[in-house]
Amino acid sequence: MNDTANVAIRAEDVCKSYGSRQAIRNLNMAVPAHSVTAILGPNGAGKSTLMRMITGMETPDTGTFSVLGRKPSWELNRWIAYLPDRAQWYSHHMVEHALEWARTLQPGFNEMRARDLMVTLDLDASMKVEGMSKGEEARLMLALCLARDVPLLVLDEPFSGIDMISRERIVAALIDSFSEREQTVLISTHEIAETESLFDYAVFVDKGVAVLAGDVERMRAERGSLQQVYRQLYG
Amino acid sequence: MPKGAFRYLIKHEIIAEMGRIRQGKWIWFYAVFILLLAGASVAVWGYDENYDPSYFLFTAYMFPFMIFGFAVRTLKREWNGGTSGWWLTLPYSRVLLLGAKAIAAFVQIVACMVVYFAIVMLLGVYSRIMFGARVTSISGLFDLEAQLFAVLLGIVPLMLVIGLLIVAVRRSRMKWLVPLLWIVMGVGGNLSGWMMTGGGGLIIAGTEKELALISYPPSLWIWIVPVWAVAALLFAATVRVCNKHLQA
Repeated sequence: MNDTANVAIRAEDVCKSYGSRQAIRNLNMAVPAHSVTAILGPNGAGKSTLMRMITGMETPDTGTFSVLGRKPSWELNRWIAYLPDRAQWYSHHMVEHALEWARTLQPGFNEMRARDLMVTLDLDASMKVEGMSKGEEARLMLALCLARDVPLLVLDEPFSGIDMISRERIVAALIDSFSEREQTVLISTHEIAETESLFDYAVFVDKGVAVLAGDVERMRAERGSLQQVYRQLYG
Repeated sequence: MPKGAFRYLIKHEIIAEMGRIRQGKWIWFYAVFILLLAGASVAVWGYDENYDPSYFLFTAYMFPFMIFGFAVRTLKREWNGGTSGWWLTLPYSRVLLLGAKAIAAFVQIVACMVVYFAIVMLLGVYSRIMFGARVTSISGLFDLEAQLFAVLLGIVPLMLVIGLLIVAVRRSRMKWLVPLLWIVMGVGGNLSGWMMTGGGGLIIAGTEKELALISYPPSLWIWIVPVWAVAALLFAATVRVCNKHLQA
């Protein structure tokens, strides 16, 4: 995948350390544009560091890293919808305030779409964030991300700590969203069984290295389901 | 930048702080307690020959420390509330993001100062009615308040920026600088106190005659220029830390 137009995210020999701990080591990968890509790996594999690099929150120590053909920066974030890992929403907000926040601060925010998503995800505009369940809060944050008309959507552990019903609702919303638009989507998750059907491409990361990457259909044909591949690699 | 985004960021910070005040009933308990204490002080202490309402202005020393606290809270809230990921990935420069927080904290401290000086003025009016010409005149007290207000406006940006810097450094790979910054904060606090007493040349006196002589020395206003320059440098340092050195 050498063509820049066909590659949304490219990493070449990227390294990132925190003190003596190497979070990313010589990472090489190319995420195809307009694909739904899974970033998979055990805890501490470097998935969240990679996600934060995409949004410019972390900078590589060495190597070349490009997102949508450019170096990550705050300017580039106008083209990226990002759901951070372990994120919460502003507790003093109501859902209506969250919509106002996104409408004012997030370029490409489609309010009509957000309101539709809120209905789909069983959220009411008058709900207070303080007092929401973890699942409701996660659905709110996901709706705000999915409602953005941007070329890149990055979801870091969108299902972490969420009950089964909320997970199912979120997956259904993701399937609807991806079928309607031509976005590049990157999702890091541990819930492989429930989300496997979403993915076109997968990158398996271990100790900061991309140990396996490729087309999901081909992987399935050659090695079995993503869950089986995961077990083979990390089991 | 979408129209009004910066203004919205400032409003967002102020609303978050107001929500905290509304929810924290204990804040109102303290406010009522302090007001009762001030009222009781005037009622009891007022009959002492040496009493003067301008003495209440010594409590204005709290403001440099209050703004430091506001600044710490406004930035710390992003990490403690789990919203740092949203805030840091907004498509605006760190100068704007931190600037909005700084302005919001500044607006809050100015509001607190206005309320504070109004309350002291009310105590001054009450004292004048109760105790006559023995205490500072309304115009004398107003003059003193205006000068102190101006000096505080000169000082608070420094303490505000030190607060932001401490939180940013605490969340960075440069944590080891935190103790040093607490020392800087201590120096800033002392400098504030020194400036509020007009470089040691101002004594808040108890009689109208003496108060008429009170005025901050002109050299003090010159001090505000280097203080703001240091504040600007520390703000640039905070931006740099948030740009390059934040830790997950």
